[in-house]
Amino acid sequence: MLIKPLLAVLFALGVTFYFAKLRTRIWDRMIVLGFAFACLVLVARPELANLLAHLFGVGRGVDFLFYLAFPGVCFFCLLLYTKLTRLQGTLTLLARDLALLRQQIDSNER
Amino acid sequence: MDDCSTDNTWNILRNMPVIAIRHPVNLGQGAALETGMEYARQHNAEFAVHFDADGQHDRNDIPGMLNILANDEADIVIGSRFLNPSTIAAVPKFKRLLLKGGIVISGLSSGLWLTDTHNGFRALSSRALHTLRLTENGFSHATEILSEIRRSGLRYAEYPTHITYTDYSRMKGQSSWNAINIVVDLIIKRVLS
Repeated sequence: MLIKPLLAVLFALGVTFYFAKLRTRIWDRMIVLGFAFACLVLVARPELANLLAHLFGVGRGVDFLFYLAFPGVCFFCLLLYTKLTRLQGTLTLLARDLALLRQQIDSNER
Repeated sequence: MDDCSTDNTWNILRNMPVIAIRHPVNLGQGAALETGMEYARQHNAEFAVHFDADGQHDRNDIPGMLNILANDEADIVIGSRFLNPSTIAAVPKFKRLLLKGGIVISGLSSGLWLTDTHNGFRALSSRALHTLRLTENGFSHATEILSEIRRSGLRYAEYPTHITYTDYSRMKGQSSWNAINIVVDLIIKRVLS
Protein backbone atom coordinates (compact mmCIF):
# COMPACT_ATOMS: atom_id res chain seq x y z
CA MET A 1 0.00 0.00 0.00
CA LEU A 2 1.58 3.21 -1.17
CA ILE A 3 -0.27 5.65 1.04
CA LYS A 4 1.25 4.79 4.42
CA PRO A 5 4.99 5.12 3.79
CA LEU A 6 4.36 8.04 1.49
CA LEU A 7 2.34 9.98 4.06
CA ALA A 8 4.74 9.14 6.88
CA VAL A 9 7.81 10.34 5.00
CA LEU A 10 6.10 13.42 3.57
CA PHE A 11 4.67 14.38 6.92
CA ALA A 12 7.95 14.00 8.80
CA LEU A 13 9.95 15.95 6.21
CA GLY A 14 7.30 18.55 5.79
CA VAL A 15 6.84 19.21 9.48
CA THR A 16 10.57 19.45 10.14
CA PHE A 17 11.16 21.82 7.24
CA TYR A 18 8.09 23.89 8.05
CA PHE A 19 8.94 24.41 11.72
CA ALA A 20 12.58 25.07 10.89
CA LYS A 21 12.18 27.52 8.01
CA LEU A 22 8.71 28.46 6.90
CA ARG A 23 6.47 28.76 9.88
CA THR A 24 4.22 31.79 10.27
CA ARG A 25 1.00 32.25 12.17
CA ILE A 26 -1.02 32.61 8.99
CA TRP A 27 0.38 29.44 7.49
CA ASP A 28 -0.31 27.59 10.77
CA ARG A 29 -3.97 28.51 10.50
CA MET A 30 -4.20 27.86 6.78
CA ILE A 31 -2.74 24.37 7.15
CA VAL A 32 -5.10 23.42 9.96
CA LEU A 33 -8.08 24.89 8.11
CA GLY A 34 -6.93 23.20 4.92
CA PHE A 35 -6.89 19.78 6.56
CA ALA A 36 -10.26 20.44 8.20
CA PHE A 37 -11.82 21.63 4.95
CA ALA A 38 -10.47 18.64 3.01
CA CYS A 39 -11.92 16.26 5.59
CA LEU A 40 -15.27 18.05 5.53
CA VAL A 41 -15.41 17.80 1.73
CA LEU A 42 -14.61 14.09 1.82
CA VAL A 43 -17.28 13.47 4.46
CA ALA A 44 -19.83 15.38 2.34
CA ARG A 45 -18.70 13.62 -0.89
CA PRO A 46 -18.01 9.98 -0.05
CA GLU A 47 -17.71 9.08 -3.74
CA LEU A 48 -14.79 11.53 -4.01
CA ALA A 49 -13.24 9.93 -0.95
CA ASN A 50 -13.53 6.49 -2.55
CA LEU A 51 -12.03 7.76 -5.80
CA LEU A 52 -9.04 9.28 -4.04
CA ALA A 53 -8.70 6.19 -1.86
CA HIS A 54 -8.36 3.92 -4.89
CA LEU A 55 -5.93 6.36 -6.48
CA PHE A 56 -3.63 6.06 -3.48
CA GLY A 57 -4.07 2.34 -3.07
CA VAL A 58 -6.31 2.57 -0.03
CA GLY A 59 -9.29 0.21 0.23
CA ARG A 60 -12.05 2.52 1.34
CA GLY A 61 -12.85 6.20 1.33
CA VAL A 62 -13.28 6.27 5.09
CA ASP A 63 -9.78 4.84 5.53
CA PHE A 64 -8.40 7.52 3.25
CA LEU A 65 -10.20 10.13 5.32
CA PHE A 66 -8.53 8.78 8.45
CA TYR A 67 -5.09 8.80 6.80
CA LEU A 68 -5.67 12.41 5.82
CA ALA A 69 -7.08 13.52 9.18
CA PHE A 70 -4.37 11.90 11.30
CA PRO A 71 -1.47 14.08 10.09
CA GLY A 72 -3.71 17.11 10.45
CA VAL A 73 -4.46 16.27 14.07
CA CYS A 74 -0.76 15.60 14.74
CA PHE A 75 0.15 18.93 13.22
CA PHE A 76 -2.44 20.67 15.39
CA CYS A 77 -1.03 18.92 18.48
CA LEU A 78 2.46 20.18 17.59
CA LEU A 79 1.10 23.72 17.28
CA LEU A 80 -0.52 23.42 20.69
CA TYR A 81 2.73 22.08 22.14
CA THR A 82 4.72 25.05 20.84
CA LYS A 83 2.11 27.42 22.21
CA LEU A 84 2.20 25.71 25.60
CA THR A 85 5.99 25.94 25.61
CA ARG A 86 5.79 29.67 24.90
CA LEU A 87 3.23 30.14 27.66
CA GLN A 88 5.40 28.21 30.08
CA GLY A 89 8.30 30.51 29.22
CA THR A 90 6.15 33.58 29.88
CA LEU A 91 4.92 32.14 33.18
CA THR A 92 8.49 31.42 34.21
CA LEU A 93 9.59 35.00 33.54
CA LEU A 94 6.67 36.37 35.56
CA ALA A 95 7.26 33.98 38.46
CA ARG A 96 10.96 34.84 38.45
CA ASP A 97 10.32 38.57 38.54
CA LEU A 98 7.85 38.11 41.37
CA ALA A 99 10.25 35.92 43.37
CA LEU A 100 13.10 38.42 43.03
CA LEU A 101 10.81 41.34 43.86
CA ARG A 102 9.56 39.63 47.00
CA GLN A 103 13.12 38.89 48.06
CA GLN A 104 14.00 42.54 47.59
CA ILE A 105 11.00 43.64 49.69
CA ASP A 106 11.87 41.12 52.43
CA SER A 107 15.45 42.31 52.39
CA ASN A 108 14.40 45.98 52.68
CA GLU A 109 12.03 45.18 55.55
CA ARG A 110 14.83 43.56 57.49
CA MET B 1 16.43 28.82 46.02
CA ASP B 2 13.10 27.38 47.06
CA ASP B 3 11.12 26.12 44.07
CA CYS B 4 7.80 26.49 45.89
CA SER B 5 8.39 23.60 48.25
CA THR B 6 5.32 22.24 50.00
CA ASP B 7 6.97 21.17 53.25
CA ASN B 8 8.45 23.40 55.96
CA THR B 9 11.56 24.29 53.94
CA TRP B 10 10.66 27.94 53.39
CA ASN B 11 9.89 28.65 57.04
CA ILE B 12 13.25 27.21 58.02
CA LEU B 13 15.14 28.87 55.18
CA ARG B 14 13.88 32.41 55.69
CA ASN B 15 15.03 32.39 59.29
CA MET B 16 18.58 31.40 58.36
CA PRO B 17 21.34 33.96 57.71
CA VAL B 18 21.19 33.42 53.95
CA ILE B 19 19.59 35.15 51.01
CA ALA B 20 16.51 33.06 50.36
CA ILE B 21 14.38 33.32 47.22
CA ARG B 22 11.14 31.43 46.69
CA HIS B 23 9.25 30.79 43.46
CA PRO B 24 5.50 31.48 43.76
CA VAL B 25 4.82 28.31 41.74
CA ASN B 26 6.85 25.17 41.17
CA LEU B 27 8.80 25.57 37.92
CA GLY B 28 11.59 23.00 37.99
CA GLN B 29 15.28 22.80 38.78
CA GLY B 30 16.43 24.61 35.65
CA ALA B 31 14.15 27.55 36.39
CA ALA B 32 15.31 27.66 40.01
CA LEU B 33 18.95 27.77 38.92
CA GLU B 34 18.25 30.55 36.43
CA THR B 35 16.44 32.62 39.09
CA GLY B 36 19.39 32.21 41.45
CA MET B 37 21.76 33.14 38.63
CA GLU B 38 19.67 36.21 37.81
CA TYR B 39 19.94 37.33 41.43
CA ALA B 40 23.71 36.78 41.27
CA ARG B 41 23.93 38.83 38.06
CA GLN B 42 21.91 41.69 39.54
CA HIS B 43 24.26 41.78 42.52
CA ASN B 44 27.49 41.55 40.49
CA ALA B 45 28.55 38.21 41.89
CA GLU B 46 32.13 37.24 41.10
CA PHE B 47 31.31 33.52 41.21
CA ALA B 48 28.20 31.36 41.40
CA VAL B 49 27.91 27.76 42.51
CA HIS B 50 25.15 25.32 41.57
CA PHE B 51 24.66 23.00 44.55
CA ASP B 52 21.86 20.45 44.87
CA ALA B 53 19.70 20.66 47.98
CA ASP B 54 19.23 16.92 48.47
CA GLY B 55 22.46 16.46 50.41
CA GLN B 56 24.35 14.57 47.68
CA HIS B 57 27.08 17.13 47.19
CA ASP B 58 29.99 17.86 49.50
CA ARG B 59 30.56 21.54 50.31
CA ASN B 60 34.27 20.80 50.86
CA ASP B 61 34.60 20.49 47.08
CA ILE B 62 33.65 24.13 46.56
CA PRO B 63 37.04 25.74 47.34
CA GLY B 64 38.81 23.50 44.84
CA MET B 65 36.32 24.41 42.12
CA LEU B 66 36.50 28.13 42.88
CA ASN B 67 40.29 27.94 42.84
CA ILE B 68 40.20 26.93 39.18
CA LEU B 69 38.03 29.93 38.39
CA ALA B 70 40.13 32.30 40.51
CA ASN B 71 43.25 31.21 38.58
CA ASP B 72 41.37 31.95 35.37
CA GLU B 73 41.89 28.39 34.14
CA ALA B 74 38.25 28.05 33.12
CA ASP B 75 34.95 29.95 33.00
CA ILE B 76 32.89 27.06 34.33
CA VAL B 77 33.86 24.06 36.42
CA ILE B 78 31.64 20.99 36.27
CA GLY B 79 31.74 18.38 38.97
CA SER B 80 32.26 14.76 37.97
CA ARG B 81 31.42 11.66 39.94
CA PHE B 82 33.44 9.56 37.52
CA LEU B 83 36.74 11.34 38.12
CA ASN B 84 36.63 10.36 41.77
CA PRO B 85 37.33 6.60 42.21
CA SER B 86 35.87 6.59 45.72
CA THR B 87 32.57 8.00 44.43
CA ILE B 88 32.09 5.75 41.39
CA ALA B 89 31.28 2.75 43.54
CA ALA B 90 28.69 4.77 45.46
CA VAL B 91 26.66 5.42 42.30
CA PRO B 92 24.04 2.66 41.91
CA LYS B 93 24.75 0.38 38.94
CA PHE B 94 21.59 1.16 37.01
CA LYS B 95 22.11 4.90 37.50
CA ARG B 96 25.73 4.50 36.38
CA LEU B 97 24.53 2.88 33.17
CA LEU B 98 21.95 5.61 32.57
CA LEU B 99 24.52 8.32 33.23
CA LYS B 100 26.87 6.73 30.73
CA GLY B 101 24.06 6.76 28.20
CA GLY B 102 23.42 10.38 29.09
CA ILE B 103 27.07 11.17 28.38
CA VAL B 104 26.70 9.79 24.86
CA ILE B 105 23.43 11.60 24.18
CA SER B 106 24.71 14.87 25.61
CA GLY B 107 27.94 14.48 23.67
CA LEU B 108 26.10 13.96 20.39
CA SER B 109 23.69 16.76 21.15
CA SER B 110 26.05 19.41 22.50
CA GLY B 111 29.39 18.37 21.04
CA LEU B 112 30.95 18.31 24.52
CA TRP B 113 32.27 14.97 25.77
CA LEU B 114 32.48 15.07 29.54
CA THR B 115 32.80 12.29 32.06
CA ASP B 116 29.63 13.33 33.94
CA THR B 117 27.05 15.39 32.06
CA HIS B 118 24.24 15.40 34.61
CA ASN B 119 26.06 16.51 37.70
CA GLY B 120 24.31 19.45 39.33
CA PHE B 121 27.49 20.64 41.02
CA ARG B 122 29.00 23.51 39.02
CA ALA B 123 30.96 26.67 39.64
CA LEU B 124 30.65 29.64 37.32
CA SER B 125 32.77 32.72 36.81
CA SER B 126 31.16 36.10 36.23
CA ARG B 127 31.68 35.63 32.49
CA ALA B 128 29.85 32.30 32.51
CA LEU B 129 27.13 33.75 34.73
CA HIS B 130 26.41 36.49 32.21
CA THR B 131 26.72 34.19 29.21
CA LEU B 132 24.52 31.29 30.30
CA ARG B 133 20.78 31.93 30.19
CA LEU B 134 18.77 28.81 30.99
CA THR B 135 15.43 28.39 29.23
CA GLU B 136 14.83 24.73 30.10
CA ASN B 137 12.86 24.62 33.35
CA GLY B 138 13.24 20.93 34.05
CA PHE B 139 16.20 18.59 34.22
CA SER B 140 17.02 19.13 30.53
CA HIS B 141 18.85 22.27 31.66
CA ALA B 142 21.96 20.14 32.19
CA THR B 143 22.13 19.41 28.46
CA GLU B 144 21.24 23.01 27.68
CA ILE B 145 24.19 24.22 29.76
CA LEU B 146 26.55 22.05 27.74
CA SER B 147 25.12 23.30 24.44
CA GLU B 148 25.49 26.88 25.61
CA ILE B 149 29.10 26.27 26.68
CA ARG B 150 29.85 24.95 23.21
CA ARG B 151 27.97 27.72 21.42
CA SER B 152 29.49 30.58 23.40
CA GLY B 153 33.02 29.19 23.59
CA LEU B 154 33.20 29.22 27.39
CA ARG B 155 36.28 27.49 28.80
CA TYR B 156 35.30 24.53 30.92
CA ALA B 157 36.99 22.13 33.28
CA GLU B 158 35.90 19.07 35.19
CA TYR B 159 36.54 18.54 38.88
CA PRO B 160 36.31 15.29 40.87
CA THR B 161 33.46 15.69 43.33
CA HIS B 162 32.24 13.55 46.19
CA ILE B 163 28.69 12.22 46.19
CA THR B 164 26.81 10.77 49.13
CA TYR B 165 23.62 8.85 48.44
CA THR B 166 21.27 8.63 51.38
CA ASP B 167 17.68 7.46 51.64
CA TYR B 168 16.69 11.13 51.69
CA SER B 169 18.72 12.06 48.62
CA ARG B 170 17.39 9.05 46.73
CA MET B 171 13.86 10.12 47.62
CA LYS B 172 14.42 13.76 46.63
CA GLY B 173 16.65 13.21 43.61
CA GLN B 174 15.32 12.74 40.13
CA SER B 175 14.11 9.33 39.14
CA SER B 176 16.32 7.40 36.72
CA TRP B 177 13.31 7.11 34.44
CA ASN B 178 13.36 10.88 34.05
CA ALA B 179 16.11 10.24 31.51
CA ILE B 180 13.35 9.35 29.06
CA ASN B 181 11.72 12.75 29.60
CA ILE B 182 15.06 14.47 29.05
CA VAL B 183 15.66 12.65 25.74
CA VAL B 184 12.12 13.35 24.51
CA ASP B 185 12.43 17.05 25.43
CA LEU B 186 15.74 17.19 23.60
CA ILE B 187 14.33 15.64 20.41
CA ILE B 188 11.20 17.80 20.38
CA LYS B 189 13.19 20.96 20.99
CA ARG B 190 15.56 20.06 18.16
CA VAL B 191 12.71 19.42 15.73
CA LEU B 192 10.63 22.44 16.66
CA SER B 193 13.36 25.07 17.20
